[in-house]
Amino acid sequence: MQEKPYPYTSTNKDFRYEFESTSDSKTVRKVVRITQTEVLNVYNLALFDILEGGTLSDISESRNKDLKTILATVFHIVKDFYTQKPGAYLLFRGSDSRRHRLYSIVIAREFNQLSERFVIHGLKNDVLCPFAQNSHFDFYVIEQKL
Amino acid sequence: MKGTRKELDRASANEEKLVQKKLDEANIVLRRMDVSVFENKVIPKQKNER
Repeated sequence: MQEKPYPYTSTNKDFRYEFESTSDSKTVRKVVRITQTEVLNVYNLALFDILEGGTLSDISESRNKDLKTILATVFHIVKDFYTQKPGAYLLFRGSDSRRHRLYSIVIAREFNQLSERFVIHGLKNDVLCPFAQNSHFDFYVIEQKL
Repeated sequence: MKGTRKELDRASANEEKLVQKKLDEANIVLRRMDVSVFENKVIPKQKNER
């Protein structure tokens, strides 16, 4: 997470953030949406690619080899979100099993740094549990330390 | 985003539909679980605003 993030724009009213993933070959627009769930104080985070024509996709692969930069950008977006919703819980998961496993690997790798600011949980069998490497979770859950 | 009004409207509708799909997936899990675990945190500032 020490990686320099991409600059992003935001509409804080509805927690919509946009940034561009860039490589020598192409630029891919990405959008992060954080939306309130049915449970008070619990929000869902989703990351999409904006395809040509403006439609969104959560399964496209941009292959820009900038995963670290993208995740660093999302990390900064999460921090921005928490400036406005400090007590919120944030749910997220990968759009497929490969991405979901990847998120687990990244959380485990960055756990010490993330833990300075956040408590990381996982939802397993509909129960909120502390995050543990090599455990499967249906969702990952972030809570900011107050 | 560049595009005609119709394209922009279609893109916006597509985005909302996809966001709602993601939200539905989260809500399905939340409905099954004891969500009181999310109620334990009290934010003093919010409490004072009530």
